[in-house]
Amino acid sequence: MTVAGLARALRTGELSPLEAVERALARVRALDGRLNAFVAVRAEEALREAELAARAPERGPLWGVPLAVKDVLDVAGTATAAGSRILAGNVAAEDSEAVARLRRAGAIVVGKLNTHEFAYGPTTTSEHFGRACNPWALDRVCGGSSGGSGAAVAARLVPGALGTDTAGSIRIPAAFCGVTGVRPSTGLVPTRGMTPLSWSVDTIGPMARDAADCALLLGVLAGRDFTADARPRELTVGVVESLFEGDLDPRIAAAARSAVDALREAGAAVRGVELPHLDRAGVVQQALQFPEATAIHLDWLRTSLADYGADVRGRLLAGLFVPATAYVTALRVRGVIAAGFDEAAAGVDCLAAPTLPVVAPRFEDGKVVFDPGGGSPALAENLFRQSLLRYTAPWSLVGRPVVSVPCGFVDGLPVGLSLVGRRFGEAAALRAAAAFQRVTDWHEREPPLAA
Amino acid sequence: MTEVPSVGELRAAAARQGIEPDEAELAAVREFLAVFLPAVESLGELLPEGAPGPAPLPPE
Repeated sequence: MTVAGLARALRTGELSPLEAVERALARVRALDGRLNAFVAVRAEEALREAELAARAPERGPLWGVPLAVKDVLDVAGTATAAGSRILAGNVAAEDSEAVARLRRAGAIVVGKLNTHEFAYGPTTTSEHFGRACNPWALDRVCGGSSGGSGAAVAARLVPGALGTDTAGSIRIPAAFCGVTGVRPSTGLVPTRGMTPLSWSVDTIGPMARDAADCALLLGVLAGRDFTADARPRELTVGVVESLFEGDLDPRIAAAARSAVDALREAGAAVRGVELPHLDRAGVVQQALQFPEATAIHLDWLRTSLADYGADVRGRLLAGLFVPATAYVTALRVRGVIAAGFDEAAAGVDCLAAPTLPVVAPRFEDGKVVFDPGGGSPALAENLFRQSLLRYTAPWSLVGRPVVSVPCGFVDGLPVGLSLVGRRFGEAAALRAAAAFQRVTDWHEREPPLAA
Repeated sequence: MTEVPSVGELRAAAARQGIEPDEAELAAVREFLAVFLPAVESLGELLPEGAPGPAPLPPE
């Protein structure tokens, strides 16, 4: 059941909050042993909160709906480990602002979801909490860093979840797991109570089955109405042509093209757009993110270096050596790129591009299988990250909102289409996503494991 | 052109910050920097003459 459907069933009394929570917990018990999406289940607390909800005088839009949140968001009384050994036992004193807003709307948090260590990586292969698996193929990664959120929603353990997205961490698992995810405009949703990765670019957003659910959840998170009206007319979609060419799986490009065709047939105006400096955005993003992340972790690098997983430790060490002049240049270039995008996409309500250029990679012998490309394993991993960043970083860098929707399958694995709004233009991107999902059913496909 | 620091230089710079990575980690960092630093340096060419200084993203 979707978030909206479940909320409706709860309001009409078809289901009680206790029954809704019990069902979610039963799904987690039955399936999470194979997925490892959850790092903590708040079973007793959630059941108690469900009983209290039944007696609550005020019933918000998410009244009684069981949700789960990525383990970088504080939930009062529950540990926030952020996928790391360093934060083991770090019990939160109060809710993060995002969680507080969900709870004020009536939602019940049933658990914390697996993440790449400190949200700093795209695979959710934590050395400390184990790998979260892709529900469509358990030997594949589920993406990251909000991998547990993607896996939990795809496997229907919960109808919706929160993730965080700095350089792609909601969109990558959304695409790899076949769910809908929203990276909101930078600054739209307060990040208080989130374990930060990079202050300039961090965001918190929803992951759910469809755009209507994401609109409902984002509305609660942002304190406004993002009702996803599924009328594509009066929408102009700009196709980012260069991201349909070059170094991506041609079958993914074809699926994304078909998705754009579906939007056109549904009534949207579609035109090609060429964005300047698109291929430089990933480097600019990293020149901001690397030193910011390292600054956040500096004390722990001194005292607990060995406690980081090897990949995250490597990235944090690299951040020590990004010159301050590079950081300043990156901030200045961000303005140039944002202005260039705005000018090239003037008159366009949302941009369209494949969310990612590849399907979820395999995990074998304790490692993600990256194409070695002639370099060391560390360099191969970096090249994989760069290929993802080419698709996700441009929108993070300029603070634009992105809705990733499932748009097909390649080798039995889901692929996604990104609909990128203007800054604070979530409504148009969600409207395009809802219009697309009205004429397609990719978002309704379930992995066999979930059936 | 930015010269990529040697492993020894990286070790000394990390030590000045009170951080002590091992040789293999520093070698991997150096491998990354060899690709990353020239790419970052080339960003300057995107700045038009008189481009403004750093600014936050525009508010809503």
